[in-house]
Amino acid sequence: MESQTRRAPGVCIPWEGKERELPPLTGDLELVRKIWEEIDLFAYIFIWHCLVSF
Amino acid sequence: MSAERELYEKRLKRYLTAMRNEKPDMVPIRPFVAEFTAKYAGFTCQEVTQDYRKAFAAVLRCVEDFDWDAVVGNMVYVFAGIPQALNLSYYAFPGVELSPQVGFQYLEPPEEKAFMLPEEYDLLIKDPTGYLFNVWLPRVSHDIVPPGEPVTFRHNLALLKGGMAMLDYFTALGGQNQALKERGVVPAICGILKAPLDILADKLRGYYGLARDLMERPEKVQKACEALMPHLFKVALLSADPEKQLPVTMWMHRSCVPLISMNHFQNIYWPTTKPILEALWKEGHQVLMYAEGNWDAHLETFRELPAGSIIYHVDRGDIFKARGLLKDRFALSGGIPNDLLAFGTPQEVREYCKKVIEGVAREGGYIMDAGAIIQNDAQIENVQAMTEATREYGQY
Repeated sequence: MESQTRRAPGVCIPWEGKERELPPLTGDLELVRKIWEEIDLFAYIFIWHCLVSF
Repeated sequence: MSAERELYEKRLKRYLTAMRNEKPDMVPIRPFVAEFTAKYAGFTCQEVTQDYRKAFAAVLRCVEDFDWDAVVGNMVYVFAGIPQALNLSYYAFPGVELSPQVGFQYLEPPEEKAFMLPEEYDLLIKDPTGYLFNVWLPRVSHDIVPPGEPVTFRHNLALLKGGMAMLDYFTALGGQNQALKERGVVPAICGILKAPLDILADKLRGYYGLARDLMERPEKVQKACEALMPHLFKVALLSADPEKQLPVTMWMHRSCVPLISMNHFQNIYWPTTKPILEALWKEGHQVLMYAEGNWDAHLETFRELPAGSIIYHVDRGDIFKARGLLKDRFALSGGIPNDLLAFGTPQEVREYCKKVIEGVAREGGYIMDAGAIIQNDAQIENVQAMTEATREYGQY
Protein backbone atom coordinates (compact mmCIF):
# COMPACT_ATOMS: atom_id res chain seq x y z
CA MET A 1 0.00 0.00 0.00
CA GLU A 2 1.75 3.16 -1.18
CA SER A 3 1.87 6.20 1.04
CA GLN A 4 1.50 9.60 -0.55
CA THR A 5 2.19 11.44 2.68
CA ARG A 6 5.31 13.20 3.86
CA ARG A 7 6.39 10.68 6.47
CA ALA A 8 6.27 7.03 5.44
CA PRO A 9 4.42 4.53 7.60
CA GLY A 10 6.70 3.27 10.38
CA VAL A 11 8.85 6.40 10.35
CA CYS A 12 8.97 9.48 12.55
CA ILE A 13 12.41 10.90 11.76
CA PRO A 14 13.67 9.41 8.49
CA TRP A 15 17.19 8.02 8.53
CA GLU A 16 18.08 10.09 5.47
CA GLY A 17 17.62 13.26 7.50
CA LYS A 18 19.40 11.90 10.55
CA GLU A 19 22.35 10.69 8.52
CA ARG A 20 23.06 14.22 7.34
CA GLU A 21 23.46 15.33 10.97
CA LEU A 22 26.17 12.80 11.70
CA PRO A 23 29.91 13.26 11.19
CA PRO A 24 31.57 10.98 8.64
CA LEU A 25 31.22 7.54 10.21
CA THR A 26 34.30 5.53 11.06
CA GLY A 27 32.46 2.24 11.40
CA ASP A 28 29.43 0.32 10.18
CA LEU A 29 26.89 2.73 8.70
CA GLU A 30 24.28 0.02 8.25
CA LEU A 31 24.36 -0.84 11.95
CA VAL A 32 23.76 2.76 12.93
CA ARG A 33 20.91 2.99 10.43
CA LYS A 34 19.31 -0.25 11.58
CA ILE A 35 19.27 0.74 15.24
CA TRP A 36 18.08 4.25 14.45
CA GLU A 37 15.13 2.88 12.48
CA GLU A 38 14.27 0.26 15.09
CA ILE A 39 14.04 2.83 17.88
CA ASP A 40 12.29 5.33 15.64
CA LEU A 41 9.65 2.68 14.98
CA PHE A 42 8.90 2.56 18.71
CA ALA A 43 7.93 6.24 18.58
CA TYR A 44 5.72 5.53 15.58
CA ILE A 45 4.03 2.64 17.37
CA PHE A 46 3.54 4.83 20.43
CA ILE A 47 1.72 7.67 18.68
CA TRP A 48 -0.42 5.46 16.46
CA HIS A 49 -1.47 3.26 19.34
CA CYS A 50 -2.39 6.39 21.28
CA LEU A 51 -4.78 7.11 18.42
CA VAL A 52 -6.01 3.62 17.63
CA SER A 53 -5.84 1.67 20.90
CA PHE A 54 -5.90 4.06 23.86
CA MET B 1 2.99 -33.67 25.83
CA SER B 2 1.37 -32.19 28.94
CA ALA B 3 -2.39 -32.29 29.34
CA GLU B 4 -2.53 -28.49 29.06
CA ARG B 5 -0.48 -28.52 25.89
CA GLU B 6 -2.69 -31.20 24.42
CA LEU B 7 -5.78 -29.22 25.34
CA TYR B 8 -4.29 -26.08 23.80
CA GLU B 9 -3.52 -27.85 20.53
CA LYS B 10 -7.02 -29.30 20.41
CA ARG B 11 -8.64 -25.95 21.06
CA LEU B 12 -6.37 -24.15 18.61
CA LYS B 13 -7.28 -26.61 15.86
CA ARG B 14 -10.97 -26.21 16.69
CA TYR B 15 -10.76 -22.41 16.64
CA LEU B 16 -8.68 -22.17 13.46
CA THR B 17 -10.89 -24.67 11.64
CA ALA B 18 -14.02 -22.69 12.47
CA MET B 19 -12.37 -19.41 11.44
CA ARG B 20 -11.51 -20.98 8.08
CA ASN B 21 -15.24 -21.56 7.68
CA GLU B 22 -14.84 -25.31 8.05
CA LYS B 23 -16.35 -27.83 10.44
CA PRO B 24 -14.31 -28.57 13.58
CA ASP B 25 -15.04 -31.30 16.15
CA MET B 26 -17.40 -28.95 17.98
CA VAL B 27 -18.44 -25.30 17.99
CA PRO B 28 -15.64 -23.28 19.59
CA ILE B 29 -16.50 -20.76 22.27
CA ARG B 30 -14.54 -17.51 22.38
CA PRO B 31 -16.30 -15.05 24.70
CA PHE B 32 -14.90 -11.53 24.68
CA VAL B 33 -15.13 -11.20 28.45
CA ALA B 34 -14.24 -7.73 29.69
CA GLU B 35 -15.45 -6.37 33.06
CA PHE B 36 -17.28 -9.67 33.52
CA THR B 37 -13.94 -11.16 34.56
CA ALA B 38 -13.72 -8.66 37.44
CA LYS B 39 -17.18 -9.56 38.62
CA TYR B 40 -16.38 -13.26 38.52
CA ALA B 41 -12.96 -13.00 40.14
CA GLY B 42 -14.04 -10.61 42.89
CA PHE B 43 -12.36 -7.44 41.67
CA THR B 44 -13.86 -4.01 41.11
CA CYS B 45 -13.89 -2.42 37.67
CA GLN B 46 -11.43 0.08 39.07
CA GLU B 47 -8.99 -2.68 39.99
CA VAL B 48 -8.97 -4.34 36.57
CA THR B 49 -8.78 -1.00 34.75
CA GLN B 50 -6.10 0.60 36.89
CA ASP B 51 -3.97 -2.47 37.51
CA TYR B 52 -3.47 -4.74 34.54
CA ARG B 53 -2.01 -7.43 36.77
CA LYS B 54 -5.41 -7.81 38.39
CA ALA B 55 -7.08 -7.76 34.98
CA PHE B 56 -4.80 -10.59 33.85
CA ALA B 57 -5.43 -12.52 37.07
CA ALA B 58 -9.19 -12.16 36.59
CA VAL B 59 -9.00 -13.59 33.06
CA LEU B 60 -6.88 -16.51 34.24
CA ARG B 61 -9.32 -17.20 37.06
CA CYS B 62 -12.17 -17.35 34.53
CA VAL B 63 -10.42 -19.69 32.11
CA GLU B 64 -9.64 -22.06 34.95
CA ASP B 65 -13.36 -22.33 35.74
CA PHE B 66 -15.06 -21.99 32.33
CA ASP B 67 -14.57 -24.35 29.40
CA TRP B 68 -13.59 -21.69 26.85
CA ASP B 69 -11.47 -22.35 23.78
CA ALA B 70 -10.13 -18.84 23.29
CA VAL B 71 -10.23 -15.51 25.11
CA VAL B 72 -8.55 -12.12 24.88
CA GLY B 73 -5.74 -11.70 27.41
CA ASN B 74 -7.30 -8.49 28.66
CA MET B 75 -10.55 -7.34 27.09
CA VAL B 76 -10.65 -4.42 29.55
CA TYR B 77 -8.30 -3.20 26.91
CA VAL B 78 -7.44 0.28 28.15
CA PHE B 79 -4.86 0.02 30.93
CA ALA B 80 -5.58 3.32 32.68
CA GLY B 81 -1.91 3.82 33.51
CA ILE B 82 -1.24 4.91 29.93
CA PRO B 83 -3.89 7.63 29.51
CA GLN B 84 -3.24 8.80 33.07
CA ALA B 85 0.49 9.16 32.38
CA LEU B 86 -0.34 11.12 29.24
CA ASN B 87 -3.07 13.04 31.09
CA LEU B 88 -5.56 12.42 28.27
CA SER B 89 -8.86 14.21 28.40
CA TYR B 90 -11.14 11.68 26.73
CA TYR B 91 -11.62 9.00 29.35
CA ALA B 92 -13.55 8.68 32.56
CA PHE B 93 -12.21 5.92 34.78
CA PRO B 94 -13.79 3.82 37.51
CA GLY B 95 -12.66 4.95 40.93
CA VAL B 96 -11.70 8.37 39.54
CA GLU B 97 -14.52 10.09 37.68
CA LEU B 98 -16.86 7.07 37.93
CA SER B 99 -17.98 4.62 40.55
CA PRO B 100 -15.39 1.86 41.13
CA GLN B 101 -17.95 -0.63 39.81
CA VAL B 102 -18.58 1.02 36.43
CA GLY B 103 -16.56 0.26 33.31
CA PHE B 104 -14.42 3.06 31.90
CA GLN B 105 -16.07 5.46 29.47
CA TYR B 106 -14.91 7.28 26.36
CA LEU B 107 -15.91 10.93 26.43
CA GLU B 108 -16.55 12.49 23.05
CA PRO B 109 -16.12 16.26 23.13
CA PRO B 110 -18.83 18.59 21.80
CA GLU B 111 -18.41 19.48 18.14
CA GLU B 112 -16.90 22.90 18.87
CA LYS B 113 -14.19 21.27 20.98
CA ALA B 114 -13.31 18.48 18.55
CA PHE B 115 -9.76 17.16 18.78
CA MET B 116 -9.23 18.05 15.14
CA LEU B 117 -10.56 21.30 13.67
CA PRO B 118 -12.28 21.27 10.27
CA GLU B 119 -9.62 23.57 8.80
CA GLU B 120 -6.87 21.09 9.75
CA TYR B 121 -7.67 18.42 7.15
CA ASP B 122 -4.78 19.49 4.91
CA LEU B 123 -2.33 19.22 7.79
CA LEU B 124 -3.51 15.70 8.55
CA ILE B 125 -3.48 14.70 4.88
CA LYS B 126 0.02 16.01 4.30
CA ASP B 127 1.63 14.32 7.29
CA PRO B 128 -0.59 12.13 9.51
CA THR B 129 2.20 11.11 11.91
CA GLY B 130 3.43 14.68 12.28
CA TYR B 131 -0.13 15.88 12.83
CA LEU B 132 -0.67 13.36 15.60
CA PHE B 133 2.51 14.33 17.45
CA ASN B 134 2.37 18.08 16.89
CA VAL B 135 -1.32 18.93 16.95
CA TRP B 136 -3.52 16.06 18.10
CA LEU B 137 -1.58 14.78 21.10
CA PRO B 138 -1.05 18.24 22.63
CA ARG B 139 -4.76 18.87 22.16
CA VAL B 140 -5.99 15.67 23.81
CA SER B 141 -3.45 15.83 26.65
CA HIS B 142 -3.57 18.28 29.53
CA ASP B 143 0.21 18.07 29.91
CA ILE B 144 1.77 17.82 26.46
CA VAL B 145 2.44 21.16 24.79
CA PRO B 146 2.64 21.78 21.02
CA PRO B 147 5.84 22.80 19.22
CA GLY B 148 6.64 26.47 19.80
CA GLU B 149 5.36 26.60 23.35
CA PRO B 150 7.68 26.41 26.36
CA VAL B 151 8.46 22.85 27.32
CA THR B 152 7.40 21.98 30.85
CA PHE B 153 8.38 19.35 33.37
CA ARG B 154 4.92 17.82 33.04
CA HIS B 155 5.26 17.72 29.25
CA ASN B 156 8.55 15.84 29.45
CA LEU B 157 7.23 13.42 32.01
CA ALA B 158 3.98 12.77 30.19
CA LEU B 159 5.80 11.68 27.04
CA LEU B 160 8.35 9.64 28.95
CA LYS B 161 5.87 7.97 31.29
CA GLY B 162 3.30 7.39 28.54
CA GLY B 163 5.88 5.60 26.40
CA MET B 164 7.21 3.58 29.31
CA ALA B 165 3.71 2.60 30.44
CA MET B 166 2.78 1.43 26.95
CA LEU B 167 5.96 -0.60 26.62
CA ASP B 168 5.36 -2.13 30.05
CA TYR B 169 1.80 -3.07 29.16
CA PHE B 170 2.54 -4.52 25.75
CA THR B 171 5.41 -6.55 27.17
CA ALA B 172 3.17 -7.87 29.94
CA LEU B 173 0.47 -8.81 27.41
CA GLY B 174 2.94 -11.17 25.80
CA GLY B 175 3.39 -12.88 29.16
CA GLN B 176 -0.37 -13.06 29.63
CA ASN B 177 -0.79 -14.82 26.29
CA GLN B 178 1.83 -17.33 27.35
CA ALA B 179 -0.04 -17.86 30.65
CA LEU B 180 -3.22 -18.57 28.68
CA LYS B 181 -1.47 -21.14 26.53
CA GLU B 182 -0.05 -22.83 29.63
CA ARG B 183 -3.64 -23.27 30.79
CA GLY B 184 -4.69 -24.77 27.50
CA VAL B 185 -6.44 -21.63 26.23
CA VAL B 186 -5.87 -19.89 22.89
CA PRO B 187 -5.22 -16.13 22.84
CA ALA B 188 -8.17 -15.16 20.65
CA ILE B 189 -6.82 -12.26 18.62
CA CYS B 190 -3.59 -10.50 17.75
CA GLY B 191 -3.36 -7.06 16.23
CA ILE B 192 -5.61 -4.07 15.86
CA LEU B 193 -7.22 -2.25 12.96
CA LYS B 194 -9.65 0.62 12.74
CA ALA B 195 -11.11 1.81 9.47
CA PRO B 196 -9.98 5.28 8.41
CA LEU B 197 -13.46 6.80 8.53
CA ASP B 198 -14.13 5.26 11.94
CA ILE B 199 -10.94 6.65 13.44
CA LEU B 200 -11.71 10.09 12.00
CA ALA B 201 -14.99 10.02 13.91
CA ASP B 202 -13.69 8.35 17.05
CA LYS B 203 -10.63 10.37 17.89
CA LEU B 204 -10.26 13.28 15.48
CA ARG B 205 -13.40 15.07 14.30
CA GLY B 206 -15.97 13.37 16.51
CA TYR B 207 -19.13 11.84 15.10
CA TYR B 208 -21.05 15.11 14.73
CA GLY B 209 -18.09 16.90 13.21
CA LEU B 210 -17.49 14.10 10.75
CA ALA B 211 -21.17 13.91 9.83
CA ARG B 212 -21.05 17.63 9.01
CA ASP B 213 -17.81 17.22 7.06
CA LEU B 214 -19.30 14.43 4.96
CA MET B 215 -21.86 16.94 3.76
CA GLU B 216 -19.73 20.09 3.58
CA ARG B 217 -16.26 18.84 2.60
CA PRO B 218 -16.53 15.20 1.49
CA GLU B 219 -13.44 15.46 -0.72
CA LYS B 220 -11.32 16.38 2.32
CA VAL B 221 -12.75 13.46 4.28
CA GLN B 222 -11.93 11.13 1.44
CA LYS B 223 -8.37 12.41 1.11
CA ALA B 224 -7.88 12.15 4.87
CA CYS B 225 -9.06 8.54 4.80
CA GLU B 226 -6.68 7.83 1.94
CA ALA B 227 -3.82 9.40 3.90
CA LEU B 228 -4.64 7.31 6.97
CA MET B 229 -4.90 4.02 5.07
CA PRO B 230 -1.21 3.07 4.81
CA HIS B 231 -0.64 3.96 8.46
CA LEU B 232 -3.58 1.96 9.77
CA PHE B 233 -2.42 -0.93 7.61
CA LYS B 234 1.08 -0.59 9.04
CA VAL B 235 -0.20 -0.56 12.64
CA ALA B 236 -2.27 -3.67 11.92
CA LEU B 237 0.66 -5.43 10.29
CA LEU B 238 3.09 -4.54 13.08
CA SER B 239 0.70 -5.88 15.71
CA ALA B 240 -0.45 -8.98 13.78
CA ASP B 241 0.32 -12.57 14.73
CA PRO B 242 3.76 -13.44 13.30
CA GLU B 243 2.59 -17.04 12.95
CA LYS B 244 -0.39 -15.82 10.90
CA GLN B 245 -2.92 -17.90 12.81
CA LEU B 246 -4.85 -15.48 15.02
CA PRO B 247 -6.86 -12.75 13.37
CA VAL B 248 -6.27 -9.03 13.47
CA THR B 249 -9.41 -7.42 14.89
CA MET B 250 -11.07 -4.50 13.16
CA TRP B 251 -13.29 -2.77 15.70
CA MET B 252 -16.11 -1.33 13.60
CA HIS B 253 -17.83 1.66 15.10
CA ARG B 254 -20.02 4.24 13.40
CA SER B 255 -19.56 4.02 9.65
CA CYS B 256 -22.67 2.03 8.85
CA VAL B 257 -26.12 3.05 7.63
CA PRO B 258 -27.95 4.91 9.18
CA LEU B 259 -25.08 6.57 11.05
CA ILE B 260 -23.71 7.56 7.66
CA SER B 261 -25.44 7.42 4.28
CA MET B 262 -25.12 4.51 1.86
CA ASN B 263 -23.47 6.90 -0.56
CA HIS B 264 -20.75 7.78 1.95
CA PHE B 265 -20.34 4.15 2.89
CA GLN B 266 -19.93 3.08 -0.74
CA ASN B 267 -17.78 5.99 -1.87
CA ILE B 268 -15.63 6.80 1.15
CA TYR B 269 -15.73 4.13 3.86
CA TRP B 270 -15.50 1.01 1.75
CA PRO B 271 -12.93 2.16 -0.85
CA THR B 272 -10.60 3.15 2.00
CA THR B 273 -11.19 0.04 4.12
CA LYS B 274 -11.40 -2.81 1.63
CA PRO B 275 -7.81 -2.33 0.32
CA ILE B 276 -6.47 -2.62 3.89
CA LEU B 277 -8.33 -5.88 4.43
CA GLU B 278 -7.13 -7.19 1.08
CA ALA B 279 -3.55 -6.17 1.79
CA LEU B 280 -3.61 -7.91 5.17
CA TRP B 281 -5.01 -11.04 3.55
CA LYS B 282 -2.26 -10.88 0.95
CA GLU B 283 0.18 -10.88 3.87
CA GLY B 284 -1.54 -13.98 5.28
CA HIS B 285 -3.62 -12.33 8.01
CA GLN B 286 -7.31 -12.91 8.56
CA VAL B 287 -9.32 -10.03 10.00
CA LEU B 288 -12.07 -10.42 12.56
CA MET B 289 -14.57 -7.77 11.49
CA TYR B 290 -16.08 -6.94 14.84
CA ALA B 291 -19.23 -5.24 13.60
CA GLU B 292 -20.45 -3.30 16.62
CA GLY B 293 -24.08 -2.27 16.28
CA ASN B 294 -25.92 -3.33 13.15
CA TRP B 295 -24.11 -3.53 9.80
CA ASP B 296 -26.75 -5.65 8.03
CA ALA B 297 -27.13 -3.04 5.27
CA HIS B 298 -23.60 -3.83 4.11
CA LEU B 299 -23.46 -7.60 4.11
CA GLU B 300 -23.65 -7.78 0.31
CA THR B 301 -20.72 -5.38 0.06
CA PHE B 302 -18.61 -7.45 2.43
CA ARG B 303 -19.00 -10.37 0.03
CA GLU B 304 -16.54 -8.55 -2.25
CA LEU B 305 -13.69 -9.57 0.07
CA PRO B 306 -11.70 -12.70 -0.76
CA ALA B 307 -13.31 -15.86 0.60
CA GLY B 308 -11.84 -16.75 3.99
CA SER B 309 -10.15 -13.40 4.46
CA ILE B 310 -12.39 -12.33 7.34
CA ILE B 311 -14.47 -13.67 10.20
CA TYR B 312 -17.63 -11.59 10.45
CA HIS B 313 -18.79 -10.90 13.99
CA VAL B 314 -22.45 -10.05 14.59
CA ASP B 315 -23.51 -7.75 17.40
CA ARG B 316 -27.00 -6.33 16.95
CA GLY B 317 -27.39 -7.41 13.35
CA ASP B 318 -29.37 -10.45 12.28
CA ILE B 319 -27.01 -13.41 12.50
CA PHE B 320 -29.36 -15.61 10.49
CA LYS B 321 -29.41 -13.08 7.68
CA ALA B 322 -25.61 -12.83 7.88
CA ARG B 323 -25.38 -16.60 7.65
CA GLY B 324 -27.57 -16.62 4.55
CA LEU B 325 -25.57 -13.94 2.77
CA LEU B 326 -22.04 -14.76 3.86
CA LYS B 327 -21.91 -18.44 4.61
CA ASP B 328 -20.24 -19.51 1.38
CA ARG B 329 -17.44 -17.00 1.98
CA PHE B 330 -16.76 -16.34 5.67
CA ALA B 331 -17.09 -17.76 9.17
CA LEU B 332 -19.31 -15.94 11.66
CA SER B 333 -19.08 -15.29 15.38
CA GLY B 334 -21.25 -13.72 18.07
CA GLY B 335 -24.95 -13.04 17.84
CA ILE B 336 -25.93 -13.79 21.44
CA PRO B 337 -27.57 -10.58 22.72
CA ASN B 338 -25.79 -8.96 25.65
CA ASP B 339 -29.09 -7.86 27.16
CA LEU B 340 -30.08 -11.52 27.31
CA LEU B 341 -26.91 -12.27 29.27
CA ALA B 342 -27.71 -9.37 31.60
CA PHE B 343 -31.47 -9.73 32.08
CA GLY B 344 -32.47 -13.16 30.78
CA THR B 345 -32.62 -16.46 32.62
CA PRO B 346 -30.14 -19.30 32.11
CA GLN B 347 -32.87 -21.26 30.34
CA GLU B 348 -33.52 -18.39 27.92
CA VAL B 349 -29.79 -18.15 27.23
CA ARG B 350 -29.58 -21.88 26.57
CA GLU B 351 -32.51 -21.74 24.16
CA TYR B 352 -31.05 -18.78 22.28
CA CYS B 353 -27.65 -20.44 21.98
CA LYS B 354 -29.36 -23.60 20.68
CA LYS B 355 -31.27 -21.54 18.12
CA VAL B 356 -28.09 -19.85 16.90
CA ILE B 357 -26.13 -23.10 16.71
CA GLU B 358 -28.93 -24.83 14.82
CA GLY B 359 -29.51 -21.90 12.49
CA VAL B 360 -25.95 -20.86 11.84
CA ALA B 361 -23.42 -23.49 12.83
CA ARG B 362 -24.64 -26.76 11.33
CA GLU B 363 -21.94 -26.81 8.67
CA GLY B 364 -19.22 -25.33 10.88
CA GLY B 365 -17.83 -21.84 10.41
CA TYR B 366 -19.26 -20.41 13.61
CA ILE B 367 -17.65 -19.29 16.87
CA MET B 368 -19.87 -18.79 19.91
CA ASP B 369 -19.74 -15.35 21.52
CA ALA B 370 -21.96 -12.56 22.73
CA GLY B 371 -22.73 -9.71 20.37
CA ALA B 372 -20.56 -7.20 22.20
CA ILE B 373 -17.85 -7.44 24.84
CA ILE B 374 -19.21 -8.95 28.04
CA GLN B 375 -19.19 -6.47 30.88
CA ASN B 376 -20.17 -6.75 34.51
CA ASP B 377 -23.89 -6.50 33.81
CA ALA B 378 -23.82 -10.10 32.53
CA GLN B 379 -25.05 -12.64 35.06
CA ILE B 380 -22.50 -15.29 35.93
CA GLU B 381 -25.07 -18.07 35.62
CA ASN B 382 -25.99 -16.82 32.14
CA VAL B 383 -22.39 -16.89 30.93
CA GLN B 384 -22.16 -20.37 32.38
CA ALA B 385 -25.36 -21.32 30.54
CA MET B 386 -23.90 -19.99 27.25
CA THR B 387 -20.78 -22.07 27.83
CA GLU B 388 -22.69 -25.26 28.68
CA ALA B 389 -25.16 -24.84 25.84
CA THR B 390 -22.31 -24.47 23.36
CA ARG B 391 -20.87 -27.77 24.51
CA GLU B 392 -24.23 -29.51 24.66
CA TYR B 393 -25.66 -28.38 21.32
CA GLY B 394 -22.41 -27.65 19.49
CA GLN B 395 -21.14 -31.17 18.88
CA TYR B 396 -20.62 -32.34 15.28
